[in-house]
Amino acid sequence: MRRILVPVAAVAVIASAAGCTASNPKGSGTQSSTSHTLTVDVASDIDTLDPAVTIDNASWKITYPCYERLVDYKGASTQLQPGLAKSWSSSQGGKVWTFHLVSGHKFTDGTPVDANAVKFSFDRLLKINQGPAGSFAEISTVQAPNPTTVKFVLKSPFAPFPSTLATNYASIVDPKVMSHQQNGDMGQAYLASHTMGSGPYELKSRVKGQSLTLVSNPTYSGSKPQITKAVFQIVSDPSAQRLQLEKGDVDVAEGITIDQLKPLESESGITVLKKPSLLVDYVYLNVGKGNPVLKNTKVRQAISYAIDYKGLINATQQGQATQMRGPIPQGMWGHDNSLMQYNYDPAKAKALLAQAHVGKIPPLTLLYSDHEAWWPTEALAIQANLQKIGIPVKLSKVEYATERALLDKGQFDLSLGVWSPDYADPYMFMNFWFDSNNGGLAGNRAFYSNPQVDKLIREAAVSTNQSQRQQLYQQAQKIVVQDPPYVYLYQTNFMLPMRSDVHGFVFNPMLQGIYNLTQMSKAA
Amino acid sequence: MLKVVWQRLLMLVLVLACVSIATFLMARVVPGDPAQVIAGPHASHATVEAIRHQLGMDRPLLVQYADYMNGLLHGDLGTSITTRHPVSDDLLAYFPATLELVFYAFLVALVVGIPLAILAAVKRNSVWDYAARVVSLAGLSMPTFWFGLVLILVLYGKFGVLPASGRLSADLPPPPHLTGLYTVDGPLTGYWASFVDAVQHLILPVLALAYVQLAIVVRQLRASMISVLATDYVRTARAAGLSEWTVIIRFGLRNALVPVLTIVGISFGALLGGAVVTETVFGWPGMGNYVVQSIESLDFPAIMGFTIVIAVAYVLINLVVDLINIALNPEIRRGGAS
Repeated sequence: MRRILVPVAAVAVIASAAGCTASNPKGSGTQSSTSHTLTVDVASDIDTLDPAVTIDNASWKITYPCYERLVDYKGASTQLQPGLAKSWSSSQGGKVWTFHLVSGHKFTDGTPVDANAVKFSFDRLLKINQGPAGSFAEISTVQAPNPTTVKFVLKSPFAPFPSTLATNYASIVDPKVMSHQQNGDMGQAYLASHTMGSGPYELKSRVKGQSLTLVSNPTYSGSKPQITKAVFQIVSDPSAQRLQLEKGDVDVAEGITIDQLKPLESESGITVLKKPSLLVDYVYLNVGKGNPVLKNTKVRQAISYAIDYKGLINATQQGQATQMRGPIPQGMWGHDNSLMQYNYDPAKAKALLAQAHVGKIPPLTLLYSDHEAWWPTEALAIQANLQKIGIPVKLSKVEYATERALLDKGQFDLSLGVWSPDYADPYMFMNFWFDSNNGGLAGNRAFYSNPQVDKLIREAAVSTNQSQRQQLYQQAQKIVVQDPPYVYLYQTNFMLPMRSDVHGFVFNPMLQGIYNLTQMSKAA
Repeated sequence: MLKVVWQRLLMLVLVLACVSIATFLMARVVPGDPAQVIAGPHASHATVEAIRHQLGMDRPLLVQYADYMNGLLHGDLGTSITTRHPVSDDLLAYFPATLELVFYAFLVALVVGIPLAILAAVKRNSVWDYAARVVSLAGLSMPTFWFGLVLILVLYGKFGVLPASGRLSADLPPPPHLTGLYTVDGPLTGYWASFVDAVQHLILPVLALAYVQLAIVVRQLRASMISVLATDYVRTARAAGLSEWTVIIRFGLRNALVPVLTIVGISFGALLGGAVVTETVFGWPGMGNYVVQSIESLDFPAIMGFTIVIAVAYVLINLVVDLINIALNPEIRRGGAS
């Protein structure tokens, strides 16, 4: 061992010493004082930075500060405020939406951000037709009658439309991206690792598998931010991340696992942020295509009473979650605090099963994967809970991609799932989960069909009267809680450890993983 | 010698054909759809179908395979489904990282391991022998990820002399791409700060990986040397009055190295496929990370590209090992046994 350690230590010492004197050719680095640089550890690399292609929050971390959108979220809430659009209105019962743009904003190459750029961005998004286009399937045409007016004509009235414009998918992209087109890809290969936006930051450098660096955008129309450089380094090991955070070599560490956050909380110099998120974890009960016993409402109610919610939350989330009350989570408008909530009552569950008169229940398969680290634990807990009331459960663990294929075909009885909203509207939960037209991967993974619920949620989707929509969704919620196609488990807490000298971070549940860099700063 | 080279190159073509067909079929037989993965959890059927069409995955299997092999013959490994870049670009970025790590690890393992093994074999039951056996046993018993984490904890966490993760500090640019090996490109292009930083980042992962390989080399070579040093021809060489050095190196080591190099060659080839554990612990952006990412997102072109590159590397490495063995041992050249 000494034979190895001595020469290695020597090399290390020489290397450190040499590091002080070695230098690169001039003009090949980005320097900035560390009090204006935010360093964040992330767990994995991004796939692509093209807003029209990526559906991954990891990429939005980089793109959201580099692009502007027509509307933005107000602070930590899901309410909307003007962005590139200073005002907007709807006509024809919610079928046509008109936006009036601010003037004077420019892309990083000096091109003005005008109605043409907005039209271009949405035309491109729809033409590329990948994941993000799904949120805009309602758009029929986009018109730019003059440089400061954009008109969206939808196929049919769609009340949640404005909230779709606050998402990363609705980033306004520089039309000059077409000059980087290859093989008719509309610039996808270029935008995969570059940004062409008008936001407060731009991507300075990207080293594959290692780091991405943002610097403040000199052509941005707003004021210069305190954080002029944001470095996202890819560190795949949670222990390495923790050491780096403790030593102060990084300011924020995203990849530290939940069991390690508790000891970090008590360390000086580190703050662990904790806020409820809109990420929900639930169980699909395959009403439409699974075992026939699941068609019986009492059976599903029995399952809902059989689950030890508190125990489950402790086991899978270390207590850092809130039991759901209905499908619309806390933090999203439409959440009903007076809704009935199932509690852990195995006796009641057994009674309900007896009343259901379904006889001996055959083993039901519980489908899951490693997509969420806590799913194996959760599956075992649910199996144990259901076993207790006389429902045998067969665990079926598969690869994530395989799981999705089986979900789409409906080849399962029970399945674990997570869901988070793309835009801040209860439509994301109520219509996606319960509309009988959405069977399968699209959202209604229970293959649930209830004409009464369909009527309520479809009406709520087109009405432009907010209070009427709220009422309709509340009525629908009451039905789907009494006749549950899902077991509403919990909504997770968002937890983020960071150095205590990082100020100004605002957590918006719609922008999980995204940093409001323009409002952040580091104490000297 | 030339005959061997020709034989191997022919085998390379055969291996590539079989490997490509097998990987192609396996990737598509597994239930799971990359179009779904790209479309996202909330996408409609129409979007997924459109993506499937864009990727050309709705064509018959034979057509897809023919198309792919055609591209391959022109040096085109296809376009990655996740990164939208040519797979060859991605591989050019990730392969050198693994090559650099694995090469230095093996260099350390051989430079330290061979002398240690010789000492152990020659000075049987001395302190060197015991040390070698303990070192070897420890290396074979220790999980790489644990050893790696301990190295990070001690040398970064406690003493702060070496970095915890990655190939290069985020505020230093990588040297311009000539070979992709920072330790080669750095000096060649004058990017000295990046070079020094790259060396600092290399030390811990190389140590972690080298130690296991060192253990294998020491154990195998020591055993091999002991058996060779006991043979008749070695006794004859000693009796003929040749110096101890000549006996050990020319007669002993030359023959003892043959099985060791074979094992080292196989190991090297396997690790080029991504020293996944080491790369994960040290956040090393190499083939290990790349292939895991590709499999998780069912990125067919990336998976195929990766498999083909590794298959080629493997065959070539085995060719080199066989050539070295022939050079070391004329009996293999003549095809006979002693």
